[in-house]
Amino acid sequence: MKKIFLICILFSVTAACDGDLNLFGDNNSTFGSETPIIIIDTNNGQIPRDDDDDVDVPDVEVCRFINPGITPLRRLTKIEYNNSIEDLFPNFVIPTQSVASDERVGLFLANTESAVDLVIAEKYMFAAEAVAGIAISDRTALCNGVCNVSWALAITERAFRRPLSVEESGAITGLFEGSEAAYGNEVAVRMTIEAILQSSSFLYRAELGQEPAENVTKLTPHELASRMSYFLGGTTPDAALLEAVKSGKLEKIEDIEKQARRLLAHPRGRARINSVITTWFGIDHVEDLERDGLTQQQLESLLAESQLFIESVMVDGDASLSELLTADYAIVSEENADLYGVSVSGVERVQLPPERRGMLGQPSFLAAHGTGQSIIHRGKFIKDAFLCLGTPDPPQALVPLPTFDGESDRSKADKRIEATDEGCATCHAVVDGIGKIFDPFDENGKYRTADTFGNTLTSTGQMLGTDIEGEIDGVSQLADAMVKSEHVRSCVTKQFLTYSLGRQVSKSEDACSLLVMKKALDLSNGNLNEMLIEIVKTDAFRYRRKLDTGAQ
Amino acid sequence: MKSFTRRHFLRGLGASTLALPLLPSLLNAAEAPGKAKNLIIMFSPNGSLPERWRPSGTENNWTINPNDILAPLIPHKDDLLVIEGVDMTSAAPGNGNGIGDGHQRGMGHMLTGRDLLASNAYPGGVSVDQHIAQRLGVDPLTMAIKPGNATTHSRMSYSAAGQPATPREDPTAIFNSMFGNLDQNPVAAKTLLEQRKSVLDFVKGDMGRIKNKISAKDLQRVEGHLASVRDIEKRLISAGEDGVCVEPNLGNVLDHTRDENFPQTGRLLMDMMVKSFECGLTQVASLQFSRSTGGAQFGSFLDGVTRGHHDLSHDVDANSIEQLVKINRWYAEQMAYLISKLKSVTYSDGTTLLDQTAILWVNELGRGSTHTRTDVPYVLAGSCGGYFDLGRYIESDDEPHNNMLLSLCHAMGVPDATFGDPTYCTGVLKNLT
Repeated sequence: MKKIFLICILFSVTAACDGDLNLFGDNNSTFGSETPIIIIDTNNGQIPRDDDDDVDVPDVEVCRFINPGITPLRRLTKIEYNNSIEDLFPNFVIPTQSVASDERVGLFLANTESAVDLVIAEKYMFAAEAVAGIAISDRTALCNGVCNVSWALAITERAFRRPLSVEESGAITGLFEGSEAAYGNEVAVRMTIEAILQSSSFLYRAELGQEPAENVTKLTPHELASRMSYFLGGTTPDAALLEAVKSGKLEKIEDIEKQARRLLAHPRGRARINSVITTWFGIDHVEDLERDGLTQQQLESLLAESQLFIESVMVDGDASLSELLTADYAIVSEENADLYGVSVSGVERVQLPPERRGMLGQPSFLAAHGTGQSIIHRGKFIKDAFLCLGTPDPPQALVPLPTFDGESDRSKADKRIEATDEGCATCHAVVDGIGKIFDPFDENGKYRTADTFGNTLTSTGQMLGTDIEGEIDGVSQLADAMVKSEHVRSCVTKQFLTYSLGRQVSKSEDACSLLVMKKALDLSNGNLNEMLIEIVKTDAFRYRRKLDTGAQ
Repeated sequence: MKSFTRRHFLRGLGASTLALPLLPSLLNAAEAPGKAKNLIIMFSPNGSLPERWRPSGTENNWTINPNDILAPLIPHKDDLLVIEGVDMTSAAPGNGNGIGDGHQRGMGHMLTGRDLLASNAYPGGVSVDQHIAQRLGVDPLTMAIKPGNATTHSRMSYSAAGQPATPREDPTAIFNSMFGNLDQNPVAAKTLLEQRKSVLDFVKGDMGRIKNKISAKDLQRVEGHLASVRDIEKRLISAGEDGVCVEPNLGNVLDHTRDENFPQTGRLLMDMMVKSFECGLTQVASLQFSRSTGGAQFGSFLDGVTRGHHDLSHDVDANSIEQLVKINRWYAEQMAYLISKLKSVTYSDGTTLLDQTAILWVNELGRGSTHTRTDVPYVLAGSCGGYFDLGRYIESDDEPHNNMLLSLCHAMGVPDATFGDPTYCTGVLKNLT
């Protein structure tokens, strides 16, 4: 029987896939689940670097000016919201609140686009009421039994992550005293908690402080504390960080670094970075896959196994990109041992078979990007996430091409490239060239030597468009090449800066910050923790531009 | 079963449990509940199979093949308009700004008839359901099963340009909003209302203080948030009384985030949708099954379906086609259920709730395997108070789909001159009335 597969016809001009080593500007892909963001690329907000600025920047043109780019107003993500609640009420067990689903900036979760609509506002209200209801159940745990105006002001300040203005203190006092007079103390406490948890000062990370006279200004210490805490811990600043701010110990670079190292070593920090890495590899939702041949328990274990592996690299290992990508071991649970091709009892750290190395060889990664079109999806993901080449939108219409039953995916991919016009073929050559390396892994990540039609499967692919050029055979070779690649390291800095800022990075404004990160990565032998620490020292992280406010 | 009047309904709001009344703005509507015109948009993703979808025959003499996708709708043939040949011209290759891939352009243009914004790839205009609701002054009941995170693929309804309307997903929460708290003590409920209002007053003040410190773009977002808080406040005022309807039995609720529970969750949401019309709580509702590129697994409840929907939609071998027919036929069954349910609500003048309603089943693509946005498959049921002339199979002459959207406006009593991008709207769709 004749079968049909698809070739594409290009209707829009493609910007990427032209072989340029272009880390920027072409990453506003609207494909997949990423929310594309315009690259803001202006030079109207920069100041000369202060001579007494104590950060060590490379002596290059792009670092002569401080040019921090825009600061989007980030609304807390679901995880950040729940972590913050947990830390504001440490003596209570509060169930995870199902506040709104998140948007993404690039690969990472960040809410910077749409407004809170009625449905989301309701969810915030219900969540605030639920949390307040739990908190007032034990006022000894909440306020040592004395929930008064001072308590109300203190918890508001904590929730807002900064000192309160006179007006704000007045508003909280008014709410607390007014409701206490009308309904009694317990209700006043409940209403106060409900109010602060629905406030924009809690829900949004407004790193805004004093509006600068100049084009560019440093974040205030409170703002920096908040930004650092959510970046490295996914939660509201802890007491030690706030104490550092209060005592002037979050201003010098060495003090900032000291706090960053502390936050990163904290259990919250370890969990946060682990979660960010799972997002970077696109496996954070692997448990939602609903795959034939994989039980729900197996899917959940796949994510847990990767998390344990990341933990072992980032905390017990050398935190290097190299170990993450090339490790010859994994932590595998019995139920998934067959998928990895190993034998295990319980949960064990095991030596991997030669076809698997590092994160890219884990079934979580292979399954998350494994579909009926695995060559395309796996190739495309690596191209975007680790090569930062960007992918233009796929064509808007496809036309069928005859093929035959039982044809291999590799053969289909080759035909697709032969049959399509240059625009499609250029891109597919890059994407498919990477994807083919993973061809022996089925959609669930199991290794096999032949597909269901009996076609022999091989792991040879072709790398194009970066400093990794030419034939690559297997995940191990690919991982080795990625670790050595300057291009990949630059891409890594771009991804993590995007995550830390909640916006796409820009070629001009963030050039110096990316160089600083790259240097840290190079000098530390690819240590990702060192690179993360360096982020808090960058211009992009410590400064902000004067706002184009809508109020004027 | 409890009966309640609208006054009872309102009395319950603000109760100590979490319920918040949904859709109160009809409280001041002139028409008695159930006799207003209603619109339902039902969505299924990933395109269709035109040769297995289209009926055979002519406009007034047509049949649905019992082996094809629309077979479950055979019993309701006289209540249908099967509309073929309409194109999503605004989303056609070469038209407009070209932003988005096939799925995204299909999804974004489907109910808005407008290009996607360069800034965030959400469409640059209101969707037809939200527009009609805004014009009628009712709150739309926007619902979805497993839509996922907010992206162009996962949102079909927009309250304004670039502003997705978040769908409600949890059947229990929707039920509680609509029917919860009926037994509340009115005095206690009133107190709780006042308290909520004081809390929201503080929240509004806080938002007011942040407003002059943020960028113009972020200001828009905070203004939007503030408007939502004000909307909640509007629900905290009591109003008049009117009409009686009977609280439905919610029954057992399974996990609405699992594909295997699609059938049960879908029924619950459709039941509540019908009830919300019957009780006069809204006139506009939508139900989005999954999302564009959604890979829902139907295997747990459809024999012979072995792969996810999106994967299948790209294959054209005989086996994949049969699986796709089964999936799309399941969606036709859902529409048939909705039709039956609306017909089961009868009035003393012999009409039914279906007669007051139009259901439009939409898809973001025409043919799934090739991402076409031409010849998109529309099935419409119910005359919407006599506006549509039913029982026919219509082949449109490649009219733009903005015309279809404009026809919905007119049917619902919103006689606008155009809808969506006016370049791609030439008037109401021909031959529907």
